[in-house]
Amino acid sequence: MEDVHRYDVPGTWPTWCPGCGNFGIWNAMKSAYASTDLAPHKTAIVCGIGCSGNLSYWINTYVLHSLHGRSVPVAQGVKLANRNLTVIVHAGDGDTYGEGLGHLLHAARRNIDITVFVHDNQVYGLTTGQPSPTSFKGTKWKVDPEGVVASPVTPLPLALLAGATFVGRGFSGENKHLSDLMTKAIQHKGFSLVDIGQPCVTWNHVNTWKWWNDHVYKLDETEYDRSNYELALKKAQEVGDKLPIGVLYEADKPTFDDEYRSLNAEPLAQVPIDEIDVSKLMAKHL
Amino acid sequence: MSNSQLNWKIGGEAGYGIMTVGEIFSKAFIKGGYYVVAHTEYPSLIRGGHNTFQIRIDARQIRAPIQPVDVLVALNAETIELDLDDLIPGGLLVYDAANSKVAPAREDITRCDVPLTKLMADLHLPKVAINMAAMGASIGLIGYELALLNAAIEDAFGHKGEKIVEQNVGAAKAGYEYVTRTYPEPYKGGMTSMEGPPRMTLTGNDAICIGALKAGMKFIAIYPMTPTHTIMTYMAAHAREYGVMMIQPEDEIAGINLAIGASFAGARSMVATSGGGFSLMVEGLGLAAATETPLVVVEGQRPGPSTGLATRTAQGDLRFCLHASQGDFFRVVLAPGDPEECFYETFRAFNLADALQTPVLVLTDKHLATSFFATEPFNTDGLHVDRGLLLAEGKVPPDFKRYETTPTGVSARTVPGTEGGVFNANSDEHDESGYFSEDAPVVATSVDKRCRKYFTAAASLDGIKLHGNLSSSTVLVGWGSAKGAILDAMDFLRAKDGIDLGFLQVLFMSPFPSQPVKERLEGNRVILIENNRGAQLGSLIKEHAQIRPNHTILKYDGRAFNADELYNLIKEVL
Ligand SMILES: Cc1ncc(C[n+]2csc(CCOP(=O)(O)OP(=O)(O)O)c2C)c(N)n1
Ligand code: SF4
Ligand SMILES: [Mg+2]
Repeated sequence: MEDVHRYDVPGTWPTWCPGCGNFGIWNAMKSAYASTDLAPHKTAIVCGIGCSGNLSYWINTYVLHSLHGRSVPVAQGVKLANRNLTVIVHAGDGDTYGEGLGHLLHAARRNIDITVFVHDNQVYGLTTGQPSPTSFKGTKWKVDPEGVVASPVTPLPLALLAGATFVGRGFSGENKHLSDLMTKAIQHKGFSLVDIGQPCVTWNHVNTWKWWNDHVYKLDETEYDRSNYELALKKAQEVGDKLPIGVLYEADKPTFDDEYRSLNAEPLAQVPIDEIDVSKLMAKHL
Repeated sequence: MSNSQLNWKIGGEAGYGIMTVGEIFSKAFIKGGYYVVAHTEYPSLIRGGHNTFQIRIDARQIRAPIQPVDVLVALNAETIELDLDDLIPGGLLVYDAANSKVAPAREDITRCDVPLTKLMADLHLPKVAINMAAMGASIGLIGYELALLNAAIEDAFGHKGEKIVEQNVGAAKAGYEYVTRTYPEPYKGGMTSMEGPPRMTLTGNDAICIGALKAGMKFIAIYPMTPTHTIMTYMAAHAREYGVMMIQPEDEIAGINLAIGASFAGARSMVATSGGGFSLMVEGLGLAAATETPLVVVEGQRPGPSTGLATRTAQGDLRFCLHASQGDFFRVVLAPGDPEECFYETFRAFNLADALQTPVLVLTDKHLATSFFATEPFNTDGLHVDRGLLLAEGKVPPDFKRYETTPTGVSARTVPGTEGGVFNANSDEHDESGYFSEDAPVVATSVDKRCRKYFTAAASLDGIKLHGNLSSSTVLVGWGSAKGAILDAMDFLRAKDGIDLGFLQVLFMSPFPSQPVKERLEGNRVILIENNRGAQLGSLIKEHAQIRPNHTILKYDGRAFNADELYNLIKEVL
């Protein structure tokens, strides 16, 4: 039996609103961690700031609960310093596609081996319900009573164009499917983005559980060729009536670390630094 | 009788290798036992701008530039237009008459026409080589040793192969031979090399890099910005050899967060930038402090606000560095004043960051960061890497609490990978285990814990240096790169006026050395000298030592103090 409880923080329980989609992600996440047998002490999770980022309190691994929008750079730093760690981001749509959109694209193009799970509730949950970069055009909010004018950010095509080597979409309501997807994303070597549909029952009255259930469909793994980039780009742009969930794209490409490996056989964090000789450097200036 | 001091300036269009010239010419004299201070002034343009390098050379110790110059080398007509007034009466102008339409307008100088362009054409060398020919000509006119120039050229171009070295040496030789034929009398009797301890030709940035490498820095994120961009160049050249990962992030926000991630994972990490980039890093600085993650930040100041003067100097970011980011927390701010201090303080910065688990800032400026100074090799014998309370595998106690309340404010730390050390490095306020908490007593305890590090640091650091006459009742006060001009102005006062002043250099801005500052200044006449408008160190002294300076000498025109200028300004208030 996979022991999902080894990732629980004893004596705590999430404070998310009852019915929040974050619970489904949290459960799927623990199953995924268990099925990949992640040792808590060899795992570094970097969280953003939001309801989603609060997950940091309820996961028993090394965690850095970072800043709003900056979890992706922090995570890359962790991985670059110690390639032996499994490094995973949990962040919100505001985090990742608002403050941090630039970081996301740059991380994708570097193909650093980290996994980014975005809890995409299409709203700013923690700050009480403002529209987010993925809120649909025309949706009305207390701070935007006329309706959102701008078109939503489309993270999956953007990530594909930027060079992400694993791109997927999941849904908090499809727990087994989601945990399998998360497992694959973690196992993928290279930069992975998984956008996870997550109903916010308190603030988002458009993208409800029903809305999600009505709109998602599972990609057929036997038919869909996830190594086909053009196809993935097309699928990723299906954001109308039907939303595909599953692995949209996966490619085996050298990671940033592969390119850099010649630098040090050991991870940077583990190189002894006690007796470094700089006399050669000084001699160059004589 | 031979000459023991010289002030030499070269000017030309950007793109004509003025920067390379600065290092080579400095090195030719440092190799010959001279002290050198060489600074560059240039506008923020790649081509067409007016670039100069001014090199002060002296057999006795010097630490700052002076005006006017003995020799002006004009690689273009614009230099004659802009800089001719810098020449002392009787000084030498080296120029190529074929390049300047108008004859230089001064009669009280020696005009040395050297057909630089033609000499290069005759040797089939590219026109840019006139900078080498101009150095060769200068060596001839000054009556110095061509072999030392050749050695410096070889150091600079050796990695590009023998042919390139030969070409450059050949260009220098052509200039040298032309002038020794045409102007056989050397300036002021000529200069000769001297025996002495070997010295390095080093900028502040070079010294910071060597210090960081010695300290075991393994990760550096740096987005190019003058004046710290040459740290990038230096690291790029040595990263592989020293197993350092340097990454150019998409912006400085990413930069500091990458470095925090790398440090959290256990690698000694650093970022380097100027005020604008540091503005973007401010939120990250707080993240490092809140999560108690060690971090070294180099801030090379240039004049602000905003883009300001991209390629000039200032000391205007002191207050900003002390207060950047929201909330009450402690950061260390070190302000080295010369390359030697840049090296030792950068090394120390990494140990302090680990010992105190908080950000450490190293504050420099364009003048210090990019000027060359003759610097004795650093003694690394006493330098030991100390990683503070970093728990090794197998040493984690069963009841490990990452943010345990301690008398020092510092608690034992683990890094990911260490069994039994799992914790949440939490930017939200948290309890001893890292779990978030809004409980009033817990919050106050945590704030206190982090702020207590100030006193822990203050107890172990002195933070000032006393120079000159320790019993003088008139005390000059300054910090950072102004140190050089202050020390040289004091030398002038001693030599010309028989006045022997004291100088209090403040090296640590945080924790502020209140007591030693108070002890030296109380009851004495205080002359404050800073390269900013706000007298920012002065305000700190008022705050921490309740002392107001009697006089303030402030310069904020984007240029560093010249020693002779400062000498006059001090005399005005004495
Ligand atoms: C720099 C900064 N700006 C603003 C905030 C306030 N803030 C906290 S959470 C949040 C939005 C959260 O939205 P999202 O990332 O989608 O996470 P969610 O709460 O929906 O999971 C904002 C704007 C902040 N913490 N930091
Ligand atoms: S506000 Fe929305 S996202 Fe936040 S916990 Fe409640 S339901 Fe979940
Ligand atoms: Mg959200």
